[in-house]
Amino acid sequence: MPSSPSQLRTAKACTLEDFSSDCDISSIIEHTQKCLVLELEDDAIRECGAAALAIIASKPDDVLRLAHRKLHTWPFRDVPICWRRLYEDASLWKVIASLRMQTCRRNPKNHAIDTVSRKRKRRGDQENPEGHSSSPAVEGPSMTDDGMSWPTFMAGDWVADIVKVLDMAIILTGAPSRKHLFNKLFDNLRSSLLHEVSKSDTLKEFPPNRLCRPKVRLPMQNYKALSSEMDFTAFQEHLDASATPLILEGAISHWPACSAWKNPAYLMQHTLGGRRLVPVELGRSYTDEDWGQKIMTFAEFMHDYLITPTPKQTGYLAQHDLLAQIPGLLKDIQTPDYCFTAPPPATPEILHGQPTPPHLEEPLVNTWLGPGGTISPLHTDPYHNILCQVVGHKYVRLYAPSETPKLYPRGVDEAGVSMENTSQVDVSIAMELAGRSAAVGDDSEISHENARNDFEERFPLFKDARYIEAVLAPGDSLYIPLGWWHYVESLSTSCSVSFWWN
Amino acid sequence: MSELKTRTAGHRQTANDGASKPTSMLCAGLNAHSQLQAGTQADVRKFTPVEDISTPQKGADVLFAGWSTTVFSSGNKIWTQGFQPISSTLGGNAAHEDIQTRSVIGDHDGFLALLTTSGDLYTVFSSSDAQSATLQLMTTESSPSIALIAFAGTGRIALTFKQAPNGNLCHIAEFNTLDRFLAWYRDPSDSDCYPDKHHMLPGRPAQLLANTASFILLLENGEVYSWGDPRHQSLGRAINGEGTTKADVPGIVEALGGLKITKIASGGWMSAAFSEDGALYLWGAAGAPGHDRSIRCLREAGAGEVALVELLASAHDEPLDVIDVAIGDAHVAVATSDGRLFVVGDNKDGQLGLDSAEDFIEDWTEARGLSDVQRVVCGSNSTYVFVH
Repeated sequence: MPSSPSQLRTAKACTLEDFSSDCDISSIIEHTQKCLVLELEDDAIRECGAAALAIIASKPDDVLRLAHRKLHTWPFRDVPICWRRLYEDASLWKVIASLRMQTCRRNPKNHAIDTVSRKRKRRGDQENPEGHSSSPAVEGPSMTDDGMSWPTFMAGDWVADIVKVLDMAIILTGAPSRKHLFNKLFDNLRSSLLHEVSKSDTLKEFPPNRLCRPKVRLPMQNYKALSSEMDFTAFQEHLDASATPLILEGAISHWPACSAWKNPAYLMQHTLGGRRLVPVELGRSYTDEDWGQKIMTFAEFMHDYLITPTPKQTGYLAQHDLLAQIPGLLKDIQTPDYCFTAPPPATPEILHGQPTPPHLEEPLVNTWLGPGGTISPLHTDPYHNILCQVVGHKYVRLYAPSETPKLYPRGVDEAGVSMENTSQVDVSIAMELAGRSAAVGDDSEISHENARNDFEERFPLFKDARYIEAVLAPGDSLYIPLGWWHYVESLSTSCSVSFWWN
Repeated sequence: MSELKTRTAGHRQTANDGASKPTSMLCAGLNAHSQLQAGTQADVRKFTPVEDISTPQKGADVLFAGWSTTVFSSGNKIWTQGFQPISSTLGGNAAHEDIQTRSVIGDHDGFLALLTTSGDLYTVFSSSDAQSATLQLMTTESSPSIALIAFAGTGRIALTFKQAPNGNLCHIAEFNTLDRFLAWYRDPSDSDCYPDKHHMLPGRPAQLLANTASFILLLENGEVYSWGDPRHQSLGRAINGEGTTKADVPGIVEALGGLKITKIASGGWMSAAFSEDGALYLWGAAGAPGHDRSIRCLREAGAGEVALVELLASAHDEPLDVIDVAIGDAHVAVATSDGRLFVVGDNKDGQLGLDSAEDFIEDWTEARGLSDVQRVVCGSNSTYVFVH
């Protein structure tokens, strides 16, 4: 039986070496529990009150529900940290209880954990039961067009259930004190899945999904990166002199990610067979009314939005720190040297009404994975950005801060949130309206003409705004200076990694 | 749906205060601290008589049902079941008359304080050598004179000051934390301890309640005011636009305008009110934040709207008159004049008492097997019913 927190005792912090490399469930249970019963110094969790702590080990589900309720009592930034701590620890106790149940069910002769068998599922088979709030059901796709069945998480897939609990805890709390325990558990679960055979292993590449590549009429400056033309020193000099956008060709072509991440099976393996939960943006563009976000398994995102030739809508795994969530992928990338230069400081005009962000000790890294046709509407960021193109192609268009009056920035919305860093202009629509040739005597041409007139009326100065554009190829990087407006559209299945720094 | 319905005022029983007629108590819901049923931590999923050998006499009342502790009273005796041990007699052993409790406050950790009709404030006091905590009288001659008090899930306190018998100005004070309230109560002249907010309204307060993040006030003339966090339609009134009152200032719930409300209830992100002719109105979050199930009758109601709840004994009947309502964190329980109990909402801990394995019930459902239901009290994850 687990020792209760009433037996909390202070001891030296357990180290990672205490944990054996054996992937036996019992070891990870013991290790996790040992860490949980240790009293952390100044642990805010005590402010949750003795009643919750008294049953956190024996009744983690009830405590999780209390913590979940408290996490939603205030706007997220006002939530006292004690509730994040309670949710975090209750999740780990719940996982311990699940793992214990698996220990009891194990074949005593065979220490290996039962592998989850993959079977072909017929349409309409029962999905993984939902026990937890805001965790979506993993849809049970049956066959893709080429007759392969995708991993579906069967009822009884205890690994998927545990991953869901862990990932929801990370999403809701940011794992303030137990990140090492979460990572250790994911690693342990990963070793237990090594024997898992999945049909998805045969899918070595994303299907070709290429949209028309637009002509680049107004190219930006383009350099072969890392040559003497634009090495670290030259880049610093460029920042000191003009700090304008640059394409750095081949800047990241040495990244293992450029070949490894083209392979869906590789990504599925690193996300525990696609069981890890990720936030996906659904809809054409975040400025549209019907845009939303949904948390789903990586497998669901992969199947329903990346691989399928006919997705129900656009799904974009956007602006997500995937590398923090999946540290195993960190070895595939390398922070560009350019991020360690000293860029010019931000001025209030360039920040477009946004507050000055704090100095970043380390670059903020985000991953952007999606099908062809994803759109990031015209906006600015309060950081300098090196956008690295890993897989596929992206079209980018940049406008200088001086063009801001011609770009019709939004104002402050009803909730008091400043949207001044986002343009009212839908660049993809502008491109479409500008692109059509003037044919005569056609109904659609008349409505096209009306649309063009409406656009002209709303945004008369837009056509005079000067821009530069480029198509990023795998291995390229793009320097986007702070305050420069940028519009990004993927031309194929695409994966990018952005580095924000100041 | 804020249209008013004229009801034929038929014969109906008024809500019983539990002290005069013999009643028994049943409970259902979260029992992780054995607060509903001793000797087990399993959820109580169907209405079960409250058995407590320490119950001094029948006719006990539930003062407060929280996440971990239930507080009972009988006469001046107070005791608890669950996590927090309390055993106390109000007014000490010398008290001869029954002390009437007007307001109670507590949270997930347990009971915190009670306020009597005479304005005496008792707080929970535990000493290291005693097994149980006791309730200690805090009120002195220099204490502020307060009538009602409420404690929101965000930790905010609201109270109303006692009025003169002919007074018609309701004075409300707010404190950001319980500690700030207690510091002021001990020394109201200290300027550092002054209330964080004041509000004045015309009227005489009858009931003051709080839920997760808002307060709701019923006046003797039947008007209802609400204020606090406006998210999830919890205030039941508009907060933007001409003629509206901001969210953080008490504003009248216009959707109930013209009705004489008898009693209000509040919990989670919902509130309810029923009128003197037995019509029940419910507003707030149809589904608790972060959850995907929701109460059907609230789904259509928009911001500033309230839902008229119609409960029927059978499909062809007239709607029943409501005599009591209570709201937990995400469930609602209603007693009707013919002695039935109807429930809806979260049932993860069995708090709807339906003996059902369902996690959530979207539609109003009668809790069968109960008759002559007089009164209902809800804890955050539990329900107590009083029957003859």
